[in-house]
Amino acid sequence: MYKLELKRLIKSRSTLFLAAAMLGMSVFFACVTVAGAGSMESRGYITLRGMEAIEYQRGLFAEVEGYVTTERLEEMSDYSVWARDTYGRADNMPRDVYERWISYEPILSGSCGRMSCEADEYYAERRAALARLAPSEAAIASALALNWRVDEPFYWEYGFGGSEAGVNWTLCLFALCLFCTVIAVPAFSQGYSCGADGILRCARLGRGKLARAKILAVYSVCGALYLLSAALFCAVILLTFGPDGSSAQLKLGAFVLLDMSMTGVLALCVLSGLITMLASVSFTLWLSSLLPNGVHVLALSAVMLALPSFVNAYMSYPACDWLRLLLPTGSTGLQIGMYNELAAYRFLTLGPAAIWTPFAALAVPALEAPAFALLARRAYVRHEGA
Amino acid sequence: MNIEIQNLTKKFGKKTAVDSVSLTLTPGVWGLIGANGAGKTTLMRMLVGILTPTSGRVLCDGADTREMGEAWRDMLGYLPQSFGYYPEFSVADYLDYMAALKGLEKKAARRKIAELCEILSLTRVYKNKIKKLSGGTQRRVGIAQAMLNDPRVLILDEPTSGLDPGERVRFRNLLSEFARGRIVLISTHIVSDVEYIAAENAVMKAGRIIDAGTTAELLRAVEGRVFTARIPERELERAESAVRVVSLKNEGGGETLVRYVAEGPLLPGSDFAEPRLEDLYLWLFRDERRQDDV
Repeated sequence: MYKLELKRLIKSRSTLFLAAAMLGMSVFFACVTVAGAGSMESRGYITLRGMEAIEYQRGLFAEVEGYVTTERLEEMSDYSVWARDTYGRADNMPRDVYERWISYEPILSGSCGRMSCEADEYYAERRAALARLAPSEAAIASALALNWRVDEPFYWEYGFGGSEAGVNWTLCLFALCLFCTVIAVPAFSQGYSCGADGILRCARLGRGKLARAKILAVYSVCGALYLLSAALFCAVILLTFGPDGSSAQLKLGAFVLLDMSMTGVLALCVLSGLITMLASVSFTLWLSSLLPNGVHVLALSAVMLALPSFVNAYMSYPACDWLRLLLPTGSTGLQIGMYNELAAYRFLTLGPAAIWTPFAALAVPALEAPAFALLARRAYVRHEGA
Repeated sequence: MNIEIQNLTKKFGKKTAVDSVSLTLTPGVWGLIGANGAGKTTLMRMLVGILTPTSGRVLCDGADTREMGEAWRDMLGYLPQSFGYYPEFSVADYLDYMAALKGLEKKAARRKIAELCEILSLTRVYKNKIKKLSGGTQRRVGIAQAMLNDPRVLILDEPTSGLDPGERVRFRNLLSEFARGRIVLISTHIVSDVEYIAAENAVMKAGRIIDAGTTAELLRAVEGRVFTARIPERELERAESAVRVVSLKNEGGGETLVRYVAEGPLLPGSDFAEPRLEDLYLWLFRDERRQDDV
């Protein structure tokens, strides 16, 4: 039954069209990331873009790759101050001075620059800020406990972490979720509206087992297309920039509470995207099992997809984080996703408990995906036509 | 085997579509006769389990069909009034899909599909998309899916609508053969179809079964009430308002042969005629105005 339902879904023209759109979209966003890579142009005579810029930067930053110890930070900071004091603007620096100065910039701006502190105080100041900026006692305890597992000193190397890969992946994920939602819309509602449902549910396996087969088929198609799209995006990014072993704390946000490289962050974003997509699809399946009109299902699913972006943009109360993250689509949207959650250093607090938002962004859709799938199955089994 | 319908009632808001219907179906072809809106479709949908009754139950050999679940659906074949299908399906895809849904083994399914396609003249269009087939051919695909699992209970809502006369005769013969030892319930407006093949009939009116029995038993209600009369054409309008006309036949010479049902021979020169189901239908529904079926 599952195989036949899968075959039916794959053969439908809309699925084929959406599949092509999803794959094209992921390649597009990856290519935009590569094309957007540019070398630092302040010196005037280096104006490289795309692959040329990546090649140039890889050579430029090869010298500074390694662990960012306090001593190295101090050394870089001292050199940066000396170059500024001696030559003023970067345009006036000799090429060798400029290249050394510019190669220190991402590390300095990602560490003491971000914390607005002296180089020798970076690690201490970061730990102090974790406690200072947490919203509650529970959040402080949670942050410090998590940070305990974060290894210092941090590591820095050239890679996609310095590009727009994270931002573009967030946008790409939103588009992928939208396309997967559209694939899920007719799962049940099409049968109701075209009248096929009446016959199907009179067959021996036409209730719970058919519902399960339909849900699994949608999951399989959406999951496979998502993973293929994500693989394409990652392949383009990793083949051009190369893997990025830099600590997330230096390239993404000072308060990332996981001991994770940027490649790890990318993998986590893909995983989070998969879970969020499945939760969005499950929600749509549930709507599809309730409503016979596909347009209504699509409209409500689109509202649900847009809601987190709206809440994020226009509602700044701490409770709104709860509201947003409790939505099945709460981890996707414009400027919403695992990438942003890791960087944002936010907690969901409830009484004495505090949850770091990246954990909520993983856990909530992971719970809601099966919950909505079960609701969809139940609603389909109990559905009665007019 | 028998199916016992016990006080089955379905209400949609304040409207009672089926009102405390009780009927025992035994093997053979049953005709369900009634005007549009009489509640035939609602009754059939409750029988197959698509609709939950407001009250009452359906028993199959003493077991409640709602509790039987898969076991009940396993012995069921159903063709609704409007045959719905996924638009991307070809006949082959659709029958394969339905066979799997009915839990048929692959080999058995293939054999059964080939057999039904042969009987229902679907072999030529087997690879065609259903949406591109004529209404009659689509109907035959619908009949094929209903019979795929050799159902012990076959419920067909208006199965002959859209079939041409030849197809209708073939279908009637197929059903007569198929019905041995099984229960076949057909609702139709084409009373002649039922007359030819139904051993027993149930007549529905305003959500209730008003009569049930063999065709001969039912026809007793109109015995002595069916007449034919030859009248001048100019009298036709007056005759139509006075009696329920079953048929009109132009006899030439300005005369028309009128077949009608009435309490007595109201038209001059009337002769008694042998009653048929069509006469009974018009007699029972003489006050009915056409309305949408429920």
